[in-house]
Amino acid sequence: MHAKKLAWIWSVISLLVLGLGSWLVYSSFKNLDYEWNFGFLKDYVWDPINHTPGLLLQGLWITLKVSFFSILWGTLLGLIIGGLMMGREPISRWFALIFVDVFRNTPVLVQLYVMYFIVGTAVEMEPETAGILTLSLFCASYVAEIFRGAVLEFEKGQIDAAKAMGLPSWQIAYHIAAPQVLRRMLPALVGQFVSLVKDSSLVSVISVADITKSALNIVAVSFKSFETWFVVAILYCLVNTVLSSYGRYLERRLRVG
Amino acid sequence: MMATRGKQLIAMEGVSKSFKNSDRLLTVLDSLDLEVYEGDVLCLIGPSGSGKSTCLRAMNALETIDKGRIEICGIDYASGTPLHKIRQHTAMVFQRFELFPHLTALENVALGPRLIAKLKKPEAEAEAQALLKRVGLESQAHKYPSQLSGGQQQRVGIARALANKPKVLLCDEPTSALDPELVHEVTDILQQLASEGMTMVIVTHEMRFARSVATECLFLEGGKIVERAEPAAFFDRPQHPRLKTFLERLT
Repeated sequence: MHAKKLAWIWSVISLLVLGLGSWLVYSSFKNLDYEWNFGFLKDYVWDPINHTPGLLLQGLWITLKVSFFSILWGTLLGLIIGGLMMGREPISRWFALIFVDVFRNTPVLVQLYVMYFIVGTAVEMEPETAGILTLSLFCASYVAEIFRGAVLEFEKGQIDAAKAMGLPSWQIAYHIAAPQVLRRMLPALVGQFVSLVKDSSLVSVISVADITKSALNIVAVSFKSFETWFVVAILYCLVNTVLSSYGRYLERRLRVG
Repeated sequence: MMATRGKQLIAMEGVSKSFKNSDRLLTVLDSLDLEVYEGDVLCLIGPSGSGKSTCLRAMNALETIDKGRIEICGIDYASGTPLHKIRQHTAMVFQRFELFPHLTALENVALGPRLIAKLKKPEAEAEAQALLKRVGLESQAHKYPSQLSGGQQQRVGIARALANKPKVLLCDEPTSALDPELVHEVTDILQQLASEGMTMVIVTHEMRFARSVATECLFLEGGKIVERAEPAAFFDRPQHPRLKTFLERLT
């Protein structure tokens, strides 16, 4: 049999759906009786009086900081928890399983409230610390599952081969398992990191001055919520585009065979 | 039998192992005794489930044992010497090659010299290149395992095994995963190694290969060695009834 040609009907359907969507967006904006004015936001990007970064840039910096540390600690902790989940020791295995279930199956918003208002009151925690801590634990629960999945997929025969060569176990882990497991984790890991950058917006509810908090403040003063949130969305999008492009670059570079 | 035997390299004494398989105790090795001397090429032959692969994998401690004692070059596995140190005396060729997919053929072979003999990268790669040449793959050195045919992968596997200069080469059905027309690529090299005096223990189903390469053939049945003889006697005048029927079924 010859290769089948793609039927033209699929392209027609694609065009129709695309047209319908565009028309919907266009007509909603057209019907909206609203005077767009993005100009006022430039004072929030750069403060013209004090000549310092404005609210938006300050918030962006905090968002980057909170995301960076949450990803860093979350990944380290996630690898440990994932390791415990696969371990033979029953108490730590059960603890790891429960940890993952609790943090994956409850809303981050609730986790933040509990961490800041309950745990944070008992041990005196800055909002930013509570935010980073919560997001780290949340991120760790996902990384643990991603790690476990990648290790389970790993072909065990290679481990036998490395053992038979006479390599000690730390060298097997470093030279054989780690490069392959890391490569397999990468797509899911980047997805999780992108998601975390967006989830970091929730720390604004415990009054961390991230970019979402900045936007709330700007809207409260200017009443221009459309413009403000659009710009904030674009900023999140920029950060995540950089992040996922770097991820794709790493994926290509680490391609096996 | 053999007047001048070399040094004893492997000694297995009363080795037993059994699995619990849905309430039935399955004996894989049944107080097995086996010695391997320098220059021996032993072929382990037997029906599936006879324990021949387990026996081979017990030699480099890839399988644990329940009872008995195994010594490699005079070092007992129970002696407290780190496991990986004892394993460095042997090397293994696997049925499914088990090359490291993230490394090129050259890097696969050079890994042992780099990590175990602690050679610098250029020296390790020069050695690896020489070994790849020996198995006829010098032109494929920079390919990844997935870009090689089964026969080529197994030849890289043999080069990798030789790279650590083992005293004994353990081969676990080295041709079973190959297309029939590629089998000779691998058996030719093993034959060559045997003629150069390499000590080998080979689990195989290739009877013609076993006959020509082995100094002795061993027939395993129920986790025991039930017959041990030089190839001519083993194939032409089998004594044990199970071996007789096994050989008859093959022809």
